[in-house]
Amino acid sequence: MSEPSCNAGGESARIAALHRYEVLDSPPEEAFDRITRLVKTVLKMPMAVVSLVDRDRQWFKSRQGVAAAQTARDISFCTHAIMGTEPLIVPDSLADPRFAESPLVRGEPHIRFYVGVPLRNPDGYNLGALCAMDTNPRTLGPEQVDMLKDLSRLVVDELELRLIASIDALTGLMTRRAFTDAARRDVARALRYHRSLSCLMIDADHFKAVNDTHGHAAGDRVLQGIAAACRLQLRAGDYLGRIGGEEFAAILPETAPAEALEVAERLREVIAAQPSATAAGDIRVTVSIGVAALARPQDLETLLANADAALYAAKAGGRNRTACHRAAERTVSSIEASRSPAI
Amino acid sequence: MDDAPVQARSATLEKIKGDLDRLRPELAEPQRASVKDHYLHLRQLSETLQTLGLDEHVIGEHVIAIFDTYRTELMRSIAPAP
Repeated sequence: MSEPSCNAGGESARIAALHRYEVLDSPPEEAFDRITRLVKTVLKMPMAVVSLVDRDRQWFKSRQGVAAAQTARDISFCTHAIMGTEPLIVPDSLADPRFAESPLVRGEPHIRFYVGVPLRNPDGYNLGALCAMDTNPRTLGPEQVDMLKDLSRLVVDELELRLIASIDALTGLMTRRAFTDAARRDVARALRYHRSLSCLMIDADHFKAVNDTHGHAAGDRVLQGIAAACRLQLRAGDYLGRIGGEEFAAILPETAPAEALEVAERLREVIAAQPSATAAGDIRVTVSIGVAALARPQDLETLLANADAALYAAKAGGRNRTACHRAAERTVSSIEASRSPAI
Repeated sequence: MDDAPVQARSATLEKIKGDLDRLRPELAEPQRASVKDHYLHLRQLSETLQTLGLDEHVIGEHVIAIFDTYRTELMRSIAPAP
């Protein structure tokens, strides 16, 4: 397949941009269904969809009058629509050599007319298309095309809103809600397949004093520094969220407690050694870290509560230290007890 | 000519703008930018639907319905996580 000319960075960058929204295979939502219903009603078309064009398929976030939830990409009209910046209009598919032999034309749903407006995100990537289809050849007036353009912007608004809500504006980490959603999925997966999973709860020590002494701007820089250090130390597949003012949590899939404790210790040491550069000068902070491992049976709330209890123990033990929840500690025979007070 | 429907559509947009302005203090900067864009896009849609000849009350209903689902998601995003 040729590279779309309007997607800076090429097709792989476009796919990466699409995947950042984490919308593929998500349940139907009224926000998108309302828009496709409006398209269908105002344009008097039997079919309208919000199509997101993935690597090998187009998947419909919303669909009206279309039975399939997805189709192969190579037979889709929308894969052509995302290659430009203007709407793609196919007045009669049987008269268009690109589509005349398509199974979507020759068979169900017998598309004869197609209009698709690219869903262009703020970074310039066409994620998919808002499109309407008819089983008869037809044309559209400019105002009707304008309406589709307007609605395509509203579709992107909805996608962007969900993306923004998942990213903490200060640190660039996952928000508490996004972290919780992702962690819930990974805990369920780990339980189902009997895999290891560990959780770190990380809290900046004496952070209020940083804010009080140096101001909130300096405090923000410190939080950004902690987030950056954590990102560098965590491995591919691990992820981190800012779940409170100065509190962070990490999920380490496929990670046994001993290994999680090693990661936590490394994090603690790196943060203690690296001062954050702020307008008020370099500020050195330490963190306390609680470690908990997923037990069976257990839910996310218990796992987080265990990690939080371990964090509390680390704080009570003098701060700038790592503590392991007892359920995990039992399996960490190689870790020195003095470094990791169990609770 | 009766301009009551046009006033109704304008009133709908004004109400949306008022709702969004009230939410502003609770929003982070990226959300504020998103809200501003969304309002402009709703206004643009409203004008386009008007050129298509839709009844002004119907336009108002569509616009407010789209805004309502957006606002629901926006409120969810700024509410504390469960």
